[in-house]
Amino acid sequence: MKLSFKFLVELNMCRRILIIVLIGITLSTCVEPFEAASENFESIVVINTVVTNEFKNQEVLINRTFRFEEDGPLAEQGAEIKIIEGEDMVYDFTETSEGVYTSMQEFAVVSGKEYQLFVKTTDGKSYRSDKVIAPQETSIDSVYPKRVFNSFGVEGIGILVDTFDPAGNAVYYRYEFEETYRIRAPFWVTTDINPITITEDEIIFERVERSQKKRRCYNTNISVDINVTDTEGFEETRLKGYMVNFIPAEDIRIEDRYSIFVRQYVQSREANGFYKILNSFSESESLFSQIQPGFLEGNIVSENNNPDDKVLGFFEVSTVTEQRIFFDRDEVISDLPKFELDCEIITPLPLQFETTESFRRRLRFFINRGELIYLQHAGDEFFELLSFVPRPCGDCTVLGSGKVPDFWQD
Amino acid sequence: MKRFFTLLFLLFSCFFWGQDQDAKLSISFENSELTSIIKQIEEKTNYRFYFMDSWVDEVKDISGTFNEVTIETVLNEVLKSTKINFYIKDKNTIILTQNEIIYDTLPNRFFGTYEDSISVTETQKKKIITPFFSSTKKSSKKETLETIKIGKATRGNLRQNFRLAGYVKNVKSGKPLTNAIIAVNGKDINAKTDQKGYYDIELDVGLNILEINAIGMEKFKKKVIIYSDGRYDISLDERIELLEEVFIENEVNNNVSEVVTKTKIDVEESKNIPLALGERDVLKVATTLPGITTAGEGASGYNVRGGKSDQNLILLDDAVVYNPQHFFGIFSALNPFALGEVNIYKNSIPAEFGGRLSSVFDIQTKDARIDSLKGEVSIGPVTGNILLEAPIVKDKAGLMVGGRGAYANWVLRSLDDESLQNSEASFYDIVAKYNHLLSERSKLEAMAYVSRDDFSITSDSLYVYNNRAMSLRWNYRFNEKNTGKLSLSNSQYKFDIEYDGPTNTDFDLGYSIDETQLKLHFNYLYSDNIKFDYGLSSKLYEVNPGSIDPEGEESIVTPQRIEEERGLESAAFLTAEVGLSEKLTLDAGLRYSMYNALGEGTQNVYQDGSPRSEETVVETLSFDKNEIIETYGGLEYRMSARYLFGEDFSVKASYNKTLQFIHTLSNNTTVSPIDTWKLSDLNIEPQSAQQYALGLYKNFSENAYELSLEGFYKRSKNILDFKTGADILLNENIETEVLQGNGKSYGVELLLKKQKGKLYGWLGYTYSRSFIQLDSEFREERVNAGDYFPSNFDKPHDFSLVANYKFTRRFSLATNFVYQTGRPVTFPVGNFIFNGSEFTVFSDRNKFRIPDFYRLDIGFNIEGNHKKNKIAHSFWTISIYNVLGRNNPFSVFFVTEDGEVKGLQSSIFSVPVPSITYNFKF
Repeated sequence: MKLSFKFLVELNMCRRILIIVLIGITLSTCVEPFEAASENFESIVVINTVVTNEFKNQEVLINRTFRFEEDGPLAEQGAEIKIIEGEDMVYDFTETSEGVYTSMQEFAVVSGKEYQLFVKTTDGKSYRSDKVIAPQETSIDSVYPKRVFNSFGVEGIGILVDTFDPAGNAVYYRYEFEETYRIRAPFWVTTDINPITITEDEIIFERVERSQKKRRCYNTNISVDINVTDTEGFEETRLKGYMVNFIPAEDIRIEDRYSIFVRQYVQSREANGFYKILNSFSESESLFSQIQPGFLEGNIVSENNNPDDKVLGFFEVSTVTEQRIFFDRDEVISDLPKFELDCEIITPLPLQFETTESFRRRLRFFINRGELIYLQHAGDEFFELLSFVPRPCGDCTVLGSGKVPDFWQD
Repeated sequence: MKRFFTLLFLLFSCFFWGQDQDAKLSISFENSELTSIIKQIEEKTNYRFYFMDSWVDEVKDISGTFNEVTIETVLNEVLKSTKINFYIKDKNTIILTQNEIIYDTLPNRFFGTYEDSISVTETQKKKIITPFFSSTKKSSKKETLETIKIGKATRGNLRQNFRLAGYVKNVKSGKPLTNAIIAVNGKDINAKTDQKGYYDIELDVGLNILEINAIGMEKFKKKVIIYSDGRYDISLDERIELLEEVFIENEVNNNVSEVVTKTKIDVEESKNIPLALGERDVLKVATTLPGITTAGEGASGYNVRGGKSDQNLILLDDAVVYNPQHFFGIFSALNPFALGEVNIYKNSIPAEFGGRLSSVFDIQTKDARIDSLKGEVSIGPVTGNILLEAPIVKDKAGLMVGGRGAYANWVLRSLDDESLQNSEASFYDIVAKYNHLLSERSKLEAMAYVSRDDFSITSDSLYVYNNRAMSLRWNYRFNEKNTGKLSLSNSQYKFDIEYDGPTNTDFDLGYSIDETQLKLHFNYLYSDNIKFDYGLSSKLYEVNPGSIDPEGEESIVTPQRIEEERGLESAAFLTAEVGLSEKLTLDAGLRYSMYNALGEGTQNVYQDGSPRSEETVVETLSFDKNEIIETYGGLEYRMSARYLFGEDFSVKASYNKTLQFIHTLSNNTTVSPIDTWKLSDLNIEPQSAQQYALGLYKNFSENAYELSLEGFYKRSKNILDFKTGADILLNENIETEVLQGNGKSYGVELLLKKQKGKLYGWLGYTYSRSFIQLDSEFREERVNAGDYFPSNFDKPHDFSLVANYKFTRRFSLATNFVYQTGRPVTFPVGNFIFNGSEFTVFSDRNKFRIPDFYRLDIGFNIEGNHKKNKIAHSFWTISIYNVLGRNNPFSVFFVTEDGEVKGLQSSIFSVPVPSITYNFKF
């Protein structure tokens, strides 16, 4: 059974106390940023790897911890890496780009077999993982959208997962997803106009066909949050209605049509625990209950068992199953307010005392700037009375890609 | 009087004496005054009388007829029934004295012993009667007691003792005072007044210091010089207001002479210490004394000598109070008006107490008044408090009821802020006590206590926690030497979290622990030098570790009920206090504790040689109701000894072994109300500790200053701590989430107290360390590579100063300054990227420290006027908490927001907090 008892720090708690206590005395917040001293910095090797039951060139990523003020990690180059399967099968890795090591041959882990990772860095230190047994594969029963409220009271669509292992072995799961959504340009029209010549007497526009790709666009996000759960505490090893993702009703992602590709990793208890702790470290805690952090040891250790040779990371051996679903917004939450682009129609007019030519120049500048996009004009004769909308309203490529993804189903 | 002493001096310097006793006198008088008789004699003879008029004026109604008798005979007869003695100096002079006899020879050895004393052998056979010279030299300068003279000295008195009898009355009501204690200083003569207020006491001849103590009355202390049997009636004033502590000289040296050192908190004095929001808080006062700290401001629980906060036995009239704090530790949950005595044992715990490793907070409610109605009210910015005492059966039984509550809810509702309007923040506590004197020998006491806190931390959760404690005690005195006490107590602590969030995970989670104890305790005074203390106790625990129920139809939470835990903790104890010599006293206690984990229930058996986890469960054992799952037990030694180097200097040493069968489960660094208590079972062993302590105690300047220096060294075993990031609540197999390790702490505590004078208070300094070691052969069960590391409450330096200054009886200033080393904390030491997200890597556990803590509070107390007959006595407290506005971080934590690690620190009171409280008593 896993229930999170971490109460989010709505800083209210603090304010509440202060208000109770100090009637009539004004006060600022009592939670404030604190300067984390970067002189405490320790440079530690970070090994990040998931080998799965997908037949491919498996990857091992190695880098180092970095200071708070630094942007990103430094790749650990020139390491020697191998994974041993069972007693004797060795898979060697080569560095394909900085800090990225790829297995020289394609392989997939086999449920029930034992794997062990060995890493030797250029400074002569060597690390090895515990022996990890590849878990059994459990396929996703279903992924489905449901109208729900999130924990902040916002209504929207939750992406829920049901999964079931009749054998009762798979208890710990980790999820990753890739969401793709379609965006419509509500004021897409078939033509664009392009000012070519401007003289005192006339303005000549070129009519261009507006691409269909600007009418329907697609955008994709990849999950970065750690998403782990388990079926401990449930009556059977059945996960029912686990929310993998939540999209508020007024989010652009569910303005039209949405697809999500869920990857379910069956994990070991240790791996699951590692991810959970990692996750809890980064979550804000209740003011009055603070999780005891500490150095998080994974299943990789220094070969000589030297406690000063710290190493971070986890050698995860998982089985993966995937499922993709599609749905239209209206199938789930047709009655809720939805995302609306601000599509105000703008019709430029000459200013008082403005010469026609000056107005036309201004109009051309306006069109070329690209913030607005052509919508219509008031009759063929008086071509200069033009209407525009903000660009995303008539051209969705501002918000996504016009290319229909290969997997897309309408 | 001066004249008398002058006379006496003259007398000594005079070498001539002789009397013409041949002169005969005839005189007769009837119902005459002494003055007129003296006049008659002066007329008829050459004698002149020397006396003070006041001595003679009172003597009337004297009759007699004398024919041809000596003047001596006349005077003997006339003055027979008076206090007046006479001395015939020469032919013309007669000196009258009151009480004293004027001796014309000096007592033997008045000027020292003469070598050539011939009559030595002879006088030794007889009892040497040495006349008593009351001398001013003997009494020291500080004693300015009034002197009373009783009776008249008679020549050749052989008696060493005289009886003094009389009545003790209330001066106002004229009613007799029963059970007033009459003590004679230094002479161990004690008596009590009877129903009519009558007393009868034997005093040694000469100077005695008589002390009378009666409940609710002013103390009486006078010098009494007794010359013969006599009568003395005493009227005592009511003690109108207890403004200062009652200062009984007999107890002054207690800190030096007591064998088992206890820290006594002066309940009455606690009002003079400025505290947050003007709330009087007896337990907070305790934290200003060496060795007792809290993890931080707003952290509940006490850490005594480097122990975890679950290692303190907090007793209210013998019933355990599990969480004696409100509002996450900001207020104490015990009504200060109801408390009588607070004693904290941290050095050597008397053998009658057990079940906790570090300390015992023995808190007693005061007895309800049995003579008249009394009340006390206080109104502060956050809370209101009222306590009433009333006699139920006059002079036999009384009832006290006190209630306290916070009106914060009302304030929250009236605020504009929407998020706060729906919040809950309230608490209350109620205490009631009934005491009944069944007879001279037996007394019955019943106490009931409840407290409750309601809170919403977020808008969708509601926290409630309750304490309940009840006790019924019967004290019985079998005879002069034996007394006994039978007590039955029951306590409960529970909390409930209701979560009504927007998702379908709503739940209602409940936890409770309940314990019932029966204790039989006897005292036996074997002799003046040997005292025994023995008894039995047994306690039944019932823990309901949690049930979780889905809230509403939508909830996907599966109802779950972790099975109940039960345990029986029993003990037999015996303590002997033996005075080996006048200087050396030993207090040796033995306690045998036994704990039975009881069914029904199931217990996992884990594989040997592998870490405990769900995978290593070999077998699950089932137990029936009351079947013994596991038994733990052992002898606990409680030894202390005191050696007196003089009246005001002593050395004490102690060795203590303690066992504890219950543990708190918390994944926090500080205790919070969601702390659950776990009983020892098959997999979780009891914790134990051994403490060695040595202390020096010295009083200076006529006990105005008390100084003590104590050192301790403590080792403990099986201290429960958690694996990093463990899930505690509702885990069926807690043993897979916890680690049991060794603790080690040591320190030196210095306390200097000034008790007397306008400026009084104390200064405490402690240097102490506290470490824990979590080691195992398995990596996942090791913390910090299995080495000792500072515990969460390791604060090497701890300094407090409490100083009060009394301007007048009505105005006083109180200050309180605290400095502590910041507590250990685990800091982030860098960032790393994992699966595309940025995370923080933390240091080894407790490698760093938060900034040092210091705070200054100032309070100003104004007592109402001291008119005798007003209806109520009032008391104002104006205080400023944290005058320096120090932002003392309570916790430091880190959040990942948009991929950025942000360090946040929280503090409870980061600005000066003023408050004003009004109290009155009637």
